[in-house]
Amino acid sequence: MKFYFSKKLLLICGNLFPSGDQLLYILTQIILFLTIVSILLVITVLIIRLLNKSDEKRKSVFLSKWEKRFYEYLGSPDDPNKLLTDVKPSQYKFLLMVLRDLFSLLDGKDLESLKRIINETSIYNFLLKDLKSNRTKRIIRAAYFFGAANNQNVKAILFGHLYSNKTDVFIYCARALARINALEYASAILHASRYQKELSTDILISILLEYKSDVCKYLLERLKFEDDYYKRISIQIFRFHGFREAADSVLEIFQSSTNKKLLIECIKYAGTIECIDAIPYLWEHFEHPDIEVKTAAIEALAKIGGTELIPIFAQRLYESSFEVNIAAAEALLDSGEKGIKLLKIIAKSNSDSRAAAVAKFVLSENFIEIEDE
Amino acid sequence: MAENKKKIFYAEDSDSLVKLMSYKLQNEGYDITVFTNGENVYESVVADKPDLVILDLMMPIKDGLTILKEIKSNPDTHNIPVIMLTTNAEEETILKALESGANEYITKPFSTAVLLAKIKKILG
Repeated sequence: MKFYFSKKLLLICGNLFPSGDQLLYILTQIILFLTIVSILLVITVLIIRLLNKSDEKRKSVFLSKWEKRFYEYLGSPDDPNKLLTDVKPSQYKFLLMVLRDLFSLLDGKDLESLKRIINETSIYNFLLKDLKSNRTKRIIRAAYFFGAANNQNVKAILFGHLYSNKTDVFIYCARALARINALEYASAILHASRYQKELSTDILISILLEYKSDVCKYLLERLKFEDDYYKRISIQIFRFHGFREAADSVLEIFQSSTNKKLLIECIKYAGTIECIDAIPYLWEHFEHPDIEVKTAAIEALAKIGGTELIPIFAQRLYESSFEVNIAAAEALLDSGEKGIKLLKIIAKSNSDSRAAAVAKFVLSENFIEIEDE
Repeated sequence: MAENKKKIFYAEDSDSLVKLMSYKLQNEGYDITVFTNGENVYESVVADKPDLVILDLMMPIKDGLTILKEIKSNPDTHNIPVIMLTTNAEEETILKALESGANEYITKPFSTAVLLAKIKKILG
């Protein structure tokens, strides 16, 4: 029985594992296949490099002729269409590279000249076709130029891209709408941003800050009809613009909201615009169990000021939370001479204590000597 | 007779801006030398003593503020006027440049006509 099984096993193995000749043949085939693949790869790389080189050459030949005309045109009242005489649409990409760089660097009449190239020549239709395409890179490029050139005609197409599943497309199209100052689309940007999973709040804020300050009025009008997300982002925009007209609405939200992020934003806003009416509510949050809320309240109260707060800030230097200690020390610093004097006394009082260490740290961070009293 | 052109050193990392300004300055009759990063700018200033140096604040290898300080701390070069190009209009950055001896500053984005006017004002 044992012998029978061994024989059968040998037979199976014999079928599974090739003989010496077969193995040699298979290995030769594999090596041949890998060699062909490698050769094909090398050829592909060479072709790509050659194409790039030829593209670079075409670009430099084109620019060497075109740039002189372009420099003469910049800042002049000349017709921008003259710039495109003899220029083929296939060469537009080269001139757009130059324009892209200069849009962010030039101002005044030079910038107006750049805008006219985008808005008044055949480049407009070229970019419009790109914006209507479904190719990410082309949409992004077109959105950038239309935003930079303040083109009012493409707002609806830019809006259509806000719900794209590609975050880059959203960012560029939203930024373009903001640069155009298309106020009617500010809410749409905020709403569409919820669907962009890879979008950070910082980027969203940077987009909305591209709008002129009149966006605040627009956002404020819709504030009470919107949810916490909309309110939080809007209040951040109000804060950056120092928009005081929103104070009453923000205070209302401050009193009623339990959303931590929104609460912190209300506190920061109150501090930034130095809202005296917010002081009683800030006091309430001085003892808030959440460290972030408490820290924000200390910082806001420090901004609103008042020397009577100095002893209260000093007390917070002895709390167990490091964040609260730092906020309290900075609040003392912001309170002026009296606050700094107290901070120095605490720093010198007991070098081993936590409060003294925090006081020393904040003073040294702000290049203030402790021993000059 | 050889023309006595005023010599300007222009250090800036944007290729497009370098080309544009070179063209504009040459058209105005200046002899322009460009640098696309901060390397060797100071050494060239010491060697060639240009009539004016235009420095971008943010540059690879060595930033404009460091070069400005080097130029202004060398008795051989401290009289050479320097225009600083800054990318932000923050008071602190401008103050730092002026305190370090910059004769003029211009913030990006800027108009080439404004920069040319400032250059003419300095070089007379």
